[in-house]
Amino acid sequence: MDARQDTTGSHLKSLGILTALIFVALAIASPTFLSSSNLQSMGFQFPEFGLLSLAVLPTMISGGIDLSVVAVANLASIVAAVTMKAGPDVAWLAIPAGLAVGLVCGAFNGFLVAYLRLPPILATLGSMQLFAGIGIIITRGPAITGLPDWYTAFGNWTIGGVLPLPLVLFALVASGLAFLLRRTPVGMRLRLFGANPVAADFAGVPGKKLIIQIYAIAGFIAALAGLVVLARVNSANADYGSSYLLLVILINILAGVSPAGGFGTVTGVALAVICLQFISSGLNILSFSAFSRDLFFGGLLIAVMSYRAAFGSFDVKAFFKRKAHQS
Amino acid sequence: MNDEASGSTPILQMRNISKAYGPVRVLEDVNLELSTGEVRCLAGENGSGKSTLIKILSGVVSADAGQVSLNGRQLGDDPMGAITAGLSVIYQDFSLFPNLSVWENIGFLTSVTSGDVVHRRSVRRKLAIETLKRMQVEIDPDAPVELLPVASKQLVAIARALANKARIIVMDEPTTALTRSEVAHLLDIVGTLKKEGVSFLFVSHKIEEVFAVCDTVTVLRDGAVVVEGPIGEFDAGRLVEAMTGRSVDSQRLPREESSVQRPFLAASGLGRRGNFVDVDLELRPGEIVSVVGLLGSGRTELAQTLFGYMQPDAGRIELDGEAVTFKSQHDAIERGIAYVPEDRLTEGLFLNQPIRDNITVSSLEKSTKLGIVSATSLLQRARNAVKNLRIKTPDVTPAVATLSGGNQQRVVLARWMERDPRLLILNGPTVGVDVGSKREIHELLVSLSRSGTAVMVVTDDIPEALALSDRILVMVRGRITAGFDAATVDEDTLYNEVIREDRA
Repeated sequence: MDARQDTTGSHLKSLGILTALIFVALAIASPTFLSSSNLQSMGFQFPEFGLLSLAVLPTMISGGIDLSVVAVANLASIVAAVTMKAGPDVAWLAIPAGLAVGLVCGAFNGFLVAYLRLPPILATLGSMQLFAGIGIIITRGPAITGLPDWYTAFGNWTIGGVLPLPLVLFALVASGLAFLLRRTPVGMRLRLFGANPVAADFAGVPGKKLIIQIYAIAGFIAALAGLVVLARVNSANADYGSSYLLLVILINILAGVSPAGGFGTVTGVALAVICLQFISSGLNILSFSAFSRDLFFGGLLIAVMSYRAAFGSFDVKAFFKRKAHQS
Repeated sequence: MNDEASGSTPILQMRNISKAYGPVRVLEDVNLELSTGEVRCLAGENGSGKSTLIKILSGVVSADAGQVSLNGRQLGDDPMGAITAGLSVIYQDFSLFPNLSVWENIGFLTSVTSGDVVHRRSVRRKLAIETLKRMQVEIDPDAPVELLPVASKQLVAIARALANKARIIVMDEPTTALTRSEVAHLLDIVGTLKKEGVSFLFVSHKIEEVFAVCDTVTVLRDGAVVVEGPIGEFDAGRLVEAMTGRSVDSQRLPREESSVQRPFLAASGLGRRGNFVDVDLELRPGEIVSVVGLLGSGRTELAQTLFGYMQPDAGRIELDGEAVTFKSQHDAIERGIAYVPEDRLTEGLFLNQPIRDNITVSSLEKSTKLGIVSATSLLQRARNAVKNLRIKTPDVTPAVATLSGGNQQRVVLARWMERDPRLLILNGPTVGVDVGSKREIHELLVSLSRSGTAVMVVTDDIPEALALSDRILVMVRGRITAGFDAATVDEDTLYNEVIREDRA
C-alpha cells in the first residue's frame, strides 16, 4: 500500500528558506550581488531555462517527461528566424509560426505517448533527435544570424527600464500554467492521471486527449523559450543550449516534482530556478571558475534528493520505473 | 485422518503474528503450525489476510509482532533465508521466467542459493530432469516456459521448489486457472510428495479441494484465526460458515418491494471471445441484480463490457430500448453508467491524492464554470459526500490512503454518486472491507436502488449476493447458467450452482 503523503507544502517551505538563505549569504558576501545591474542581468538570464523547466513540469506531473524541450525550442527559433529573413511581408508571421511549431512538435510527442504507448522517456528522446535533425537540415549546419533589429530589440527591452521583457514573459507563463494546473479540469485531471493512470481510466478521465494536450502545452512553452533565446542571442542554432536539458530536469526535481507523477507545483519550479540562478550569479561574482557551477549544482541535487529520500517524500526508484501509460 | 499430522513435531510454527497497514489491522494474533508431511489448507475469503500471512511467512513482508520458526530456527524478514531453510512459495502467477527453458527455471533457485559463480549447465539440467522424473510428470525440459499450458507451468514451479530441496511448499490459490483433470493430476502429485515428507500449505477458498486433499484446515476471517483443526471435524456447511461469518451478514437486508419497471439496460446474446457467450441480461431501476461466479467465469469481463471498457463481439446492448455501442467507457459514463472496479487500490483510487479529488474526479464539470473549477464547490461537495456516506475522516484534504478499506470503498461509491448514475455496476463491492462496514455499504446500495438506480453487483461472495440482491444470476464458464429470486433461494442451492464447473 502506498501511503506516500503530499509533502509538497513542506517541501516548498524548505526550498523557499534555502533560496532566501542563499540570497542573504550572497548579499553579505559581495556588495555587487545586490547591484541593479546584477539583478537585471539575472532577470535576463534565467527566464530562458526557467521557461524550459515550466515546459517539462506538466509532463512530469502526468508521470511522463519531455526530453525534447530544448530541441523544440531550437526548432521553433530556427523556423521563426527563417520566416523573418524571408522578407518584410511575412516577417510578422515569425512569432506565430514559431509557436505553432512548438504546438505541433508537442502534440506529436503526445501522440507517441498516448496512442503508440511509447514510454515518454524514450519517445521524447527519439523526437529530440528528430527535431534537432530537422533543425540542422533547415540551417544546413551554421547558425542563422542577421535578424531584423525590431526583433532583437525585444531581447534587451525592459519595461520602464526596470523589468526585463523575458522576466515578464516568464512571470506570465508561470501564472498562466499555475492557473491551468490548479483551477481547470485539465490540470486537476492531469494530477490524478499522473497519480494512477489505471484508476483515471476507470474514473472516466479522457487519458489520451489529456496527454496530447499536456505535451502540446509543453511544446508551446518550449517554443516560447526558443523565441526568447532568439531575441537575446540574435541567432538561431540547431544545437544551442544542449546542457540545458539536464539543468531543466534538475530544476524540476529540486522543485519537488515527483518523477512518479501526481505532484508538482509552478511555485516550486519558480523557486528552484531562482535558487539556481542565485548560485550561478553568486559563483560568478565571487570569481569562482565557470566550471565549478556544475559541481555546486550537482552537489545541491544530490543533497536535496538524499534529504527527501531520507524523509520519505521522494521515491528514487520511481524514476527508473517510468512506464508507458495505459489508457 | 489427523494421526499422522499430530504425531510428529511441527516443522513450521507461526506464533502470535500481527500486522497492520496504517490504521488497518490486517492480521491479529495469528497462530499456524505445519507438521512433516501434512497438507494444511489456509482458507478464508478475499481480504481475510491470507496473502499477508503468506508474505510474512516468506519474509517479503515483516510482521509487527510474533515470530516464524522453521525446524526450530527463527526466520527473520529475509526471503533468501526462508528459501535456504526449505520454504518455497508458489504465487498465483508462478513467478517463472517465461523466456527461459524449463530446466533453466527449475535450476535457477538452486544456482542462486548455492552461490554458483559460474553457470553449471549440465549439472542443473540433470537436476531438473531428475526432479521432473521424481514428480512423474512428462514435460520437455528444453521447452521455453512461455509455450507451456498453465497447468504445466505450475508443475514447473513445483519442480523448482523441489529441486531446491523445499520441505514446505506454499501454494497460493493453486487451482484457479486449472481444468478439473489438471486439478486431479496436481492433487495426485501433492499426495506423492506428501509421502516423501514434504509439507504443503494450500491457500484456497474452493471448498471441494479443501476436502479432497487437506489433512487440516485453518480458517482466517478479518485477520484472525476463527477455527482450525483436522478436516474430519468439518463439513462444507461449517467451513463456509467459518469463512464468511454468515451469522453476521448473510441475513437478507429488509427492503420494500418495488414495482417492476422497464429495464434501463437490456443485453441479448452478448458475447466476447474467450470471456463469455450468449448472455441475456436485464437491469431495471429499483432492482439489485447480482452476478455470482468464480474467478475466471467471465464475470469481470461481462461487467467491464457493460461499462464500455471492453467491446463485445456478439449480441446487442439496449439502453431504454435503444440499441447502443460503446466505443469506450466514456460513452457509457455519458449515458449514466458507473463502474466500481474490483481492485480498489490499483484501479479505483488515487491513493496519495486528497479525498476531495478522489470524490470529485468524475464530476468536475459540475463545479466548472467557463473552464474554471471552483475550489469552494469541490470542497463543499466532497464534505457533503463524506457526511452522507459516513466516511470516517477529519477532513477531505488528507490522502485517501489514510482511510481504512471500508471508508476507501465509500469514497469510490461517493465518486459515482456525485454523477447520479442510472446504472451502478460494482465488482466485488466489499472485498477487503470489515464486517460492520460491509453491512453499511450493503444498506447504502439498497437505498440507492430504491431511489431508482439500477444496481448490478458482481461477486463470488454468496452470502453477500443473498443479503444484497433482488435477483441472482449464476455465471459458470462464461455462461449465465441459472437465475434465482434472492428472497427464496437458499445458500446451498446457489453454492452448488456456482461450483458446477468443478463437478462437470
